[in-house]
Amino acid sequence: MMLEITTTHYLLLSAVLFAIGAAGILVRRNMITVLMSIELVLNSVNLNLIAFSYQLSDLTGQIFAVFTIAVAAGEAAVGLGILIALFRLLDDTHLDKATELHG
Amino acid sequence: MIDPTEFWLLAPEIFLAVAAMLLLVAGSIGRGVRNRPAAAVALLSLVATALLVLWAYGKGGSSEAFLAGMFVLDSYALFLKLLLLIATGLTVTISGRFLEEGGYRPGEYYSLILFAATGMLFMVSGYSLLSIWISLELMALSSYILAGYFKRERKSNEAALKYFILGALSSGVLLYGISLLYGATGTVHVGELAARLGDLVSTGEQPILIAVGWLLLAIGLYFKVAAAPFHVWTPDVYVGAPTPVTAFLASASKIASFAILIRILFEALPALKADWQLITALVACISMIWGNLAALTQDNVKRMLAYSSIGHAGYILIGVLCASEEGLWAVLFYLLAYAFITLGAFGTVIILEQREYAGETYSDYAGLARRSPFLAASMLVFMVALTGIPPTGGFFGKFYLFAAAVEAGWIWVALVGVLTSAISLFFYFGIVVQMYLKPSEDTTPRPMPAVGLASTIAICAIVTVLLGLVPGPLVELAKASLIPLP
Repeated sequence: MMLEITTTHYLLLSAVLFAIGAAGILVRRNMITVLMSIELVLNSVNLNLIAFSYQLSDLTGQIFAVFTIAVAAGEAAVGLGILIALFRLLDDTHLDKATELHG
Repeated sequence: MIDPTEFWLLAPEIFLAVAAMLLLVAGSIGRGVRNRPAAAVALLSLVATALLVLWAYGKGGSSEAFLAGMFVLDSYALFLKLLLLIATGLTVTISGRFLEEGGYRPGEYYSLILFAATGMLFMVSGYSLLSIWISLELMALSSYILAGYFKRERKSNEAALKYFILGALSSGVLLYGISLLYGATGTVHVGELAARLGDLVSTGEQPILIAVGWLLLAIGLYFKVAAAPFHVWTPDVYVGAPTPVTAFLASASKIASFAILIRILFEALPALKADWQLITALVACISMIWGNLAALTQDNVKRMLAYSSIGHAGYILIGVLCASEEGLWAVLFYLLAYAFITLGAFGTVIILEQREYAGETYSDYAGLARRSPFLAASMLVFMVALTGIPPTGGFFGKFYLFAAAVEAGWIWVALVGVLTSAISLFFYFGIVVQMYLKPSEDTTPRPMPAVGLASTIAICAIVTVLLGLVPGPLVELAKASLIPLP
């Protein structure tokens, strides 16, 4: 028996991806893993946009997804830049070492 | 089809982006540019941009969206663009000292400030969730780098890191909300979204997509305006970032974020008015209570101002949740007054800072009235204005907001506002007591002579008092800058 893949399935997958990404950002202590989790969140959005775009036969979602990919690249560049600056001071990518500020 | 002449309406943003890029290139060649020429170029570009904004508004300002419905240039956008340019200009004038003393390159710094300002101008003009989000990211990415501009200081790097991680998470949440709303309605254009949402809500279709979608979108926006309980990034980022950057985040960045919050709630989600009014009321109350109570226990002035800015986000949200004309112009007036008060207060913090992070505690302000009567008097004006006591712009700002809330029937929210304002008296006047009643020690820092910085503080203090003596003209201006009510 073939299971038909509908928009709902894509939405569930994207919700799971989003939850994994959000949990990773909040729970993981390694900065590189956090950056990967951020990518996961943005890609779950892309999946949503493209699934809806296909369902609605409307191009806006795909155009939006292209913009999201571009911004995600920019965000990764800025994140890595900040990480390198911090790494030079701490010699570590572990978030628990960044504890000068607490409020 | 897009009419190419419509690009003229974006001339200010295009000009500012080009100026920022030129400054970036000039700052990267050889030894770069020195602080004074770079600041002068940045200020001149901002003035030219302000003139271009006025010209573009005269040429085609209307509430009709242009460029395929991506942007709109209405009186609301005009008011906020000019306010943002003023706030950015004042940020430039208070930035010089730390660049010169810390030996950081000024070209890139001013170029990032201009990039962030470009994003903000686009934000207040955005009329599609796509254009609003992209310009929000332009502002946010520039701000992350600016927060970490003291790259040899651990605190600054940490601030940038925390701002980046939580900012990226909030962008993801906001974007996820947008994607669900797009799925429910099939459009990201603000006007069409409102119309289709109205149909869907009245027929009761797609309830889950709409409810989750708008809630996530709103949470992302509350995060950007630093309202509790979505404020966790604020204290650390405000303390760790270089103080001029903190001033920029607390004034210009906050204004632009409120501008899109209001644009989206009022023009894209009018069908869900009752829902977002209730959530906004809760967020406003939590922000006012948490911001003001947490500020009571701080001994670092920057951290106190950070919590105070969370509280003030709550006060501004009171005007938003009224969804009335009075509420909206009260918000615009408050944003105007708050920009000058915050920039002035942070300017005073900068002038007292010794090296990067010293001179920020309450006790460093002891006896300031003797050492520098001018600085003490200005700080007194800003603290009085933040508390909301006449004769300052802060008083009328809060008065109009609370009056609008009472008129719209949100009396309990206004009551929380009045009570928390009374609490705020304690920590704002903690500084005043230090300045006027405590003797200074040998170790307390002496204010640096800095003419540009001092004149900026003077301008902010004078405007704050003027807004309290003659609020009329600016209230009229704010009343002429409204968007359609939900």
